[in-house]
Amino acid sequence: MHYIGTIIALYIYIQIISKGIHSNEEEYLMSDKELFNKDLVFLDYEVTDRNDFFTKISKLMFEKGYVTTSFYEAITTREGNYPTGLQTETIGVAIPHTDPENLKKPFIAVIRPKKEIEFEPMGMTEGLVKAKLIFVLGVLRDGGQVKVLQKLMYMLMNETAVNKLLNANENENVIEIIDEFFENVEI
Amino acid sequence: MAKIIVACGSGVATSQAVASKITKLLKQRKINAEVEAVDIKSLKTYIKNADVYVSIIRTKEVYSIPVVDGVAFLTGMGQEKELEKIINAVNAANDKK
Repeated sequence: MHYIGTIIALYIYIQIISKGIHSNEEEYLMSDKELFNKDLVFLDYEVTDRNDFFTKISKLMFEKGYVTTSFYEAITTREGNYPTGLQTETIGVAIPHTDPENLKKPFIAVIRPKKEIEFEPMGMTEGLVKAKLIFVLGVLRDGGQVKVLQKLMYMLMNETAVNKLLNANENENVIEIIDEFFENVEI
Repeated sequence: MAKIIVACGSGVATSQAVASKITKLLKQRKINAEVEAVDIKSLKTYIKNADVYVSIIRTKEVYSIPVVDGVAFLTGMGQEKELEKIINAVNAANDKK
């Protein structure tokens, strides 16, 4: 009798555990589409400078429930220590980000400022980067998002895609452009 | 096998993307090497066993192993030149062993 009870209990236990594993897998395999969101696209964004940008965007992302109150401090400190300006052949961009402990939910916000914002360059190059597009990366430590970042970088090297992004009129269009590129690119 | 380490500020996003790209490029050229994205805080430890350091941060330090500009793999600008540096270092390391 006990034997059957044990088997049933074990069976139920395994079901629960495997459901737990699957939901982790789903998060892990979170698709590109779920990181981008038309509510996180800001076109013709008005800010006076980089600090103003971080102040405004941190407040916004906090209000939308994506980041904690430590986000602003963390992202500005990190930008100061490890700048994220990148100059590709086609465009100047920035990909500010910070440690996952400042995040509530993963995301990628897309900002096209009305006026270029200056960022210090990543790595060893000289000269400021005048960013026409900024991608705030709210990415977690594990996995799936690395592919998204790679696709993002490929997209920013693609003149056609970049021009479309610079000329898009609606948030939805921006998402469509990104989705289309991500679907077709091979990394 | 030769070892390449990549480090950025937090080891979360950019170093992994760069490591991934380098792995792919080396595979295309049939070059064997281990590529690892590491946390900048643990850099000194990893450097001891590595043959090339791919840097994504601004650094003035001099290391005993070749340092390559990792940003080139993110922007595509000057990527080929940096890849050559990696390949040379890997070949040199493999010759020694």
